[in-house]
Amino acid sequence: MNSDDRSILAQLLNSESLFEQTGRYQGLEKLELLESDPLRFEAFHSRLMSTIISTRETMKYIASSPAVRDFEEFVIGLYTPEGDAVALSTGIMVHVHTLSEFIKFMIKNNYEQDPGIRPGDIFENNEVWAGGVHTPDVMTVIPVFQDGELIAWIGAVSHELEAGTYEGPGMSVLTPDRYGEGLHISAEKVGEDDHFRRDYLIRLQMNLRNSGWWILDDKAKLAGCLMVREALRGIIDTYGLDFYRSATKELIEEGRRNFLKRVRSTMVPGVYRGITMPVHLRTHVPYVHPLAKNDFIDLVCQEMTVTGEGKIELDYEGSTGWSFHPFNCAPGPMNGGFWITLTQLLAYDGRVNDGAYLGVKQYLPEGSIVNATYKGAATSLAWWTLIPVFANIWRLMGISWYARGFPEEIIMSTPTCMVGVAGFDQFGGPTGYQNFEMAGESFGARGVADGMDCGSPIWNSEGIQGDAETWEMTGPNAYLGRSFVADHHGYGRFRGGAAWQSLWMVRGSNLVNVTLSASGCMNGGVFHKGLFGGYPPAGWKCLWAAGTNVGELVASGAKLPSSLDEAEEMLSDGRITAREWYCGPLNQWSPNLSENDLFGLVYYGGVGYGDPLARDPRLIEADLANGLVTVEGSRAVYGYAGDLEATTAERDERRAERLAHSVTAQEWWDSERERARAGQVSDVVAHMYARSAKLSDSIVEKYKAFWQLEEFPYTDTGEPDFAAPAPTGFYFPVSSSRPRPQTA
Amino acid sequence: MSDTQHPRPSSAETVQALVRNELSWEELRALMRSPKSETRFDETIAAWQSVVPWEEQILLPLGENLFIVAKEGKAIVKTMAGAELGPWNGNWKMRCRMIVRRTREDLLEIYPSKDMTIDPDLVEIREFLCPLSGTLLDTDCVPPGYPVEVDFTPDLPTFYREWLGREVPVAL
Repeated sequence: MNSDDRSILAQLLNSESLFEQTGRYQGLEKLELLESDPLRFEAFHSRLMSTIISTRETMKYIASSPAVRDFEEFVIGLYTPEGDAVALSTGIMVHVHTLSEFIKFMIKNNYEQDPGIRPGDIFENNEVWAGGVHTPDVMTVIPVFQDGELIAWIGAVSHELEAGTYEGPGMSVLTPDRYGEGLHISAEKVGEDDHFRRDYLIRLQMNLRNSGWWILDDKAKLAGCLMVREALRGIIDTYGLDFYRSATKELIEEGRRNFLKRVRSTMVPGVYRGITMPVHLRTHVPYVHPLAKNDFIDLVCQEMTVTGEGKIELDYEGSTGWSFHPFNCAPGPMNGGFWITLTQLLAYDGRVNDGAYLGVKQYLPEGSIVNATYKGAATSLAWWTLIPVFANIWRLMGISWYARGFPEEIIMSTPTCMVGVAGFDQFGGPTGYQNFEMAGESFGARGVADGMDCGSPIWNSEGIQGDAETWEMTGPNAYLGRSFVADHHGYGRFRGGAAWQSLWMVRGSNLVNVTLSASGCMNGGVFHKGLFGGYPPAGWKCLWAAGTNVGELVASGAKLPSSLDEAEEMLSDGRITAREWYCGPLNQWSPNLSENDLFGLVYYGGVGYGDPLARDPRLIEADLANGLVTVEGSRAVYGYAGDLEATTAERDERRAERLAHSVTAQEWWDSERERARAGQVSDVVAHMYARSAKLSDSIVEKYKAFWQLEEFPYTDTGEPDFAAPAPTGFYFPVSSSRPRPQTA
Repeated sequence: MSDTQHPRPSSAETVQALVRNELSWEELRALMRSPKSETRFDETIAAWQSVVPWEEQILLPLGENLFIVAKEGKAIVKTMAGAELGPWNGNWKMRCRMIVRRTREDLLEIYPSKDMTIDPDLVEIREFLCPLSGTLLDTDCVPPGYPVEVDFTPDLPTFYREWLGREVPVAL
């Protein structure tokens, strides 16, 4: 590293050193500009924010992909010369800190020397080792110079629906490693003089199926960055460069202080614990790489500590190791997951900048699923790990708000469920994309209300389903229906948002296939537990049917299915015939489908809050009227018996029944201990425990202490040892954790 | 209507109504938008104290129908119905009654068969009940064999001394 005093690297190292020495951003003790003239300071901040947010609105009309135009899957922000976030637009807040890591990656790898950082340069990245999350999230960054000096960075990120993966859609579900997860732009200079280089554009054209989306989204991001650069000149003309430099530092330090204050005024210090356990079954999928053909559970242990100072620390000790799948995480994805939590739950009414990041810490065990250190590990669908993990952390934060008396702050989330489409489209060319109607998922329950039915996903609070017509234009499919699924939500005093389902018919193609999967709830798994007695929903399902007679049904004007449930019924009773079909909970890669064939999936509902027997009967009646519960379901789960008096009597009886059918926890422990000693669980669960024990003694010690055993019964993963080295020769972001051996 | 005809409720009255689930959606939204009041914790404790059917001083709400309370100089976990579940920082779940759902039949008692795809070989559902009232206090979904853990162990000394600025009224 060249740390010449005038270099950006020297500035970054100095900033890090000042924080380490003082615990304050840039060592700032007093916020002089804020304190001396708060109105001017606020006006300055508002000017930055309005510039960035209005620029984002304009960018939508330059972009071409439905990801950007229709469901808001992008963001733009302003950074200090050292790469710290000053101000972010609305949108995918995942990237507050991932852009920061990308800029720091370039600085720490001495890009000032080679390839050089000059006015007009354009840099791009989707590389996880350079702070990215996964290949479809493409970052575009430009440096801003004044009088020859770098004074800022502007960065934008958009999610690309197609990224050149092996299967086709932007996020690979089945690749064993990074070599199948699509086009990597590894922190590269891709343009000069405010223009993308010709060789870069040719590379995109040749490595993507739908390169038009990526290229036009790139142009939208570049245009946005240039608009902000232009506006910044006006802001600096008004306030002066010295004010700009000092005020941006003070904004970040103020963000840090406000974050700690927020935690101390709304939460309770202590230790919060949870687990998530996405189930990955692959041996049933006929077309999987041998490295990826295995069945397992990715256990992720979450211990959240709220410290006396007001910091939030997350420790994942006990989690299982990375695997040959695209669900691995690294510091980049984990920072992204943490940021969607911080911006939506804790810093939503303050300033969104890197100040909050200085109030949190994550301990990511090396080699684990949350910190895959193998250089070939895939993170293409890191979200299938991140979503359950951070949704569960939202739940843990809810416990804290409840204890402090702020139940109105409690909100839980839902899994993302997804169809990817690949093959040849109605426009006569290759295609690949994920249908992002999943961006209209329902919420989990809140602390004072039911979860919203069709809300937004954990990863983008502005997400929406997008128009069905847009999705019909995007790929070779027609909607046969979107509808809610009765009784399919997490039960509770407040219920989770209702599950909904979509059913499509192939249209305009005779060569298309689909991948169907869900985060944390597929393959018989459960997303995460509910709160204070609330339940998780019943499960997840998907459907495909190849070689159907649906074309004949259309021609004869016969009844067509309008939901996955109805399609399953019609396939079962023979009204729809198919050469081959599947409907169930296992993730799928369908065979090739052709015109009029079917596919569909259920978007799982949210988890519940509180004892279902305490649910207000008026809410049950509203759900009955809206078709969100059935009469049978309302009785089975909620003890609803038609009127208040009968319901109260039914519930008293049900609570008495519960006591009669239950055992004391001690009795359960006595009867279970032998099973725990002998390790009498299914092979997949035994494998999970053994994989956890291979990386850490955390679960081993907990297990032995709880069951009062001398030995841990799960010792053999059945997997070969092999060298799985980390990258060498360049700096990349790492996490604080205990060192691990470089073997899988 | 003027404010004199319908005076705005005090903060304490609002919190009483919040605890009793009596706020309308409009009132809840107003609460969400308001700055987070420094008096909320004490008002919440006072509101719960007026609801519970026992006398012990509440030190912290742990979850719906579950509290840490001061009793005979010690901090213990107590349910709304009055069951006492051991020390404040212990595994209160192991003093509950339990229903464990580990077969498809067990799960079909609560879930509809057409959507029930949870695999009981991979996940079991453990329901923790108040031993006096049968109220469901917590529902875990864990792999079989996983130790029973509590979701939250508060740092009561730090919370009271450093955050609230007063002593915990019991020896911890």
